[in-house]
Amino acid sequence: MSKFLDIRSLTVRFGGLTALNAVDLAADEGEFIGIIGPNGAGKTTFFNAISGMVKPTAGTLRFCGTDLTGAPPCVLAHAGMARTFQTPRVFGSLTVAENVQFALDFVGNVRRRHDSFAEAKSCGSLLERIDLGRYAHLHAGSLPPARQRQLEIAMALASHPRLLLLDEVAAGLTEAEVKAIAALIRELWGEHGFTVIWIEHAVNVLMRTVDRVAVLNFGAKIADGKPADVSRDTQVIEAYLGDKAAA
Amino acid sequence: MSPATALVFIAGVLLGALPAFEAPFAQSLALTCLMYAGLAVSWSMFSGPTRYLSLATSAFFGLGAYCTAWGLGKLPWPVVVMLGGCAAVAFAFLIGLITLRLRGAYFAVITYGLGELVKHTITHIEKTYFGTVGRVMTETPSSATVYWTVLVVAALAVWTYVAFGRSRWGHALRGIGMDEERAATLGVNPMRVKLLGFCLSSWFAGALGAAMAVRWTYIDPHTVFNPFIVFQTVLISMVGGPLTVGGPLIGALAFSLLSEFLRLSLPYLYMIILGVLLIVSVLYLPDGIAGYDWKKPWGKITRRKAQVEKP
Amino acid sequence: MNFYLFIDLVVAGLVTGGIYAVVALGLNLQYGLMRIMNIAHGEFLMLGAYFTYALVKVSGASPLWFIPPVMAALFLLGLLLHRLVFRRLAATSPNAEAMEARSLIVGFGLMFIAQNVAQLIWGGGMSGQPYLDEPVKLGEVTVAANRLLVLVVVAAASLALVLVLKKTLLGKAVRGMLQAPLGAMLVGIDTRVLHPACFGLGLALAGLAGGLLSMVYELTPAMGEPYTISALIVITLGGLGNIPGAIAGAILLGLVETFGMYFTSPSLKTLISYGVLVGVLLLRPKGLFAR
Repeated sequence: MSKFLDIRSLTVRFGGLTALNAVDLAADEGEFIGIIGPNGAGKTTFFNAISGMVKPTAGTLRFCGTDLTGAPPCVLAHAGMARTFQTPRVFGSLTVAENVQFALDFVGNVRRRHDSFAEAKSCGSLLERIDLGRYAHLHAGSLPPARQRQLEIAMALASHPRLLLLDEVAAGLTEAEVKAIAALIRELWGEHGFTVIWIEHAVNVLMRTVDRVAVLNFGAKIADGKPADVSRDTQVIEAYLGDKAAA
Repeated sequence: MSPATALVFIAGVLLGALPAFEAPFAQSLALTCLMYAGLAVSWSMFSGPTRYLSLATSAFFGLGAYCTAWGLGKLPWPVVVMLGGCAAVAFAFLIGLITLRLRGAYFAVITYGLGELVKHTITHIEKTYFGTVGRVMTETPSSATVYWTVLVVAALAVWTYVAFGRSRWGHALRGIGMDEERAATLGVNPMRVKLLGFCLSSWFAGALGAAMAVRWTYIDPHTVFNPFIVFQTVLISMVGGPLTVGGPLIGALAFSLLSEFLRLSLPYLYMIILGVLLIVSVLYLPDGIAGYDWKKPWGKITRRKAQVEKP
Repeated sequence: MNFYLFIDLVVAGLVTGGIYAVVALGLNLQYGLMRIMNIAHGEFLMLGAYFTYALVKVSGASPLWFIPPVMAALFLLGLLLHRLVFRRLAATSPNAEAMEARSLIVGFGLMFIAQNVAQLIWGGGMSGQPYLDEPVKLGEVTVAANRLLVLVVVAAASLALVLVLKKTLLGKAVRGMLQAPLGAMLVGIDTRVLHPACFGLGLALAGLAGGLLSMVYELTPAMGEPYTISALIVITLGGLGNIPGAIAGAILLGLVETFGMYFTSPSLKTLISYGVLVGVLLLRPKGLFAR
């Protein structure tokens, strides 16, 4: 039986720079995976390469059994991939509710119609779930970044995803907010059963929340396993703290 | 019904009845005004929300005009007008496939250039296959027919503009204008949506070209593919307000009047004034007159009250 | 084809390409630095040509005398335009895309203004007289003297520009701005001075090209448009901000057009040019010579 998500040898080269070097990642449906790595390790490039924003130089992506290597973002969205962005990309001149409605209209409810197990979701219920109800009629551009991140999660949820890619949702948040958002993600994951891949710099929170973590360094994957094992891996320690600390 | 709808209804009735008044000057003025209203509204349909500045309007208009030049007398009038629109759509589809992949500046320049290209092509065809430079328009329909045709096409353009803007496609176009990549990640197929918008807006320009062609007793590629047409269209839309309905309509009225009185007496100076006007409006009123937030000073106060509480 | 025809075509191609290079350099500076897509760029070439010709007609002296003052006048015009129009545009645009879109519309307006000013002053017909069009023998080959002159001046100007950009501090500042605008500002490069200056320089270069062309071809108010297109093609071929690439692209385009026109038909020139532009944009959007 083929894997739910099967990424093999994914490589991205920009001119002379190899941003991503033959990364493999295979996942079953419903896994909760974290991705960590020092700055410049290629984590966001990884997301960009699998979500259709950058064409991979080499390698394959199989999602739900179909080869979707290099497919454009709209195809991937309809296949069930949703993502958030490091710097939130919301439609600033639309209201919070209109942003979520956009996701519902163009991918979410379309996917739900084809999915016999799902019922159409309403904008209001989604906003309530993410605790954004009271901002529904405000312009998305006027929200502080933390709330825009929440909005992006609401939009991703509205897309009825089978795979959720979260890119540094905790950046710039206070410790309490980070814990809250981690808990929210874990809850949503539990409720919906989609696969989550979460890139994060706040390593501690991530390690406590996910079931499995992969580590990238200089574009290559150097570790992949349970958080406890990975945190003891010498290569990983070396990558973060230098080789003296590993010894 | 709202005051705006009532006004539109009354205007529509008056405009429709105009030919009965036997006032050729007023009718001619109204005709020009309706033509530009139709052109401006159909331009704003696509270029307004997506911010892809199309400069192909002259090409669409000219293609429609040549459908009339070639088809008049051989086909019934409504068919000729429809064909004019369809010829524009076919051209829009072809150039759209190529140019809609390109970024803003390139899109504008290439649509402009392709317009010039079509002009050269038609000139070449006319000379080589028909042995002529221009054509004399014979068997033209009555001026009342032309007037009503333009009125209907313009009204259709306005209705489509409003309906399309409210539809799913309209929202998709706006999403593309705000952040095309992001819209794609939310399921919008940018190429398909852009093509649809572009072709839809081109139909009206083509149909208007087909209808207006009979106004000139003699047409040649130079007259009907005149870049001034797209210039005036863009000017009206930008000054009036590219994202509103009322804007282009009011703009069309204002500029048609201005044109009537200045164009023949001071043609070059008139164009220079228009150019200056376009620049000034982009600099100081980027959303046009109708799009300007006249409530701005008040708006700032009310917006501060509604601002989100700081974390 | 025989050898002399070939040389003829090559020279014509190089002259055309050289003019394209000079015009494209100007546009490159404006678009690469400031995201100003000045689609009226060719119109300033046209104005440069007309001014030169007018001065020649009045004084009877050689156009070569008038090219420097015409360039200076256009430089000042560029400073004025930047101050009045583009600075405000940069300040009030919410993002880079809006700035591009708005500068496009402004350019469109400028195009109409410039063409109609020329029509108003000099009329819509063709004017101008060729200067120094006696043939000159270079070994086995005969070339018109004015074309040779244009080639020499254009080559000198391009070389001078490339040297200035590579060797002087000012040139390095400009290259820095082309590659990384924010970084350039952070290291103290004053864009408030350099932007208008580069904009003015761009226009002056267009004026140079126009003045040179007035020696060879006839003038019409619409003569500028094709050069804007060609300049855009050249920048696309060479890659944005890549000055040597633009020069190479210009020469290539000039040759392709000249040979293409000979083997197909002159009226297909526009089609060939656009074909090249669209082809490059679709296949190699970063340019043929991009690093």
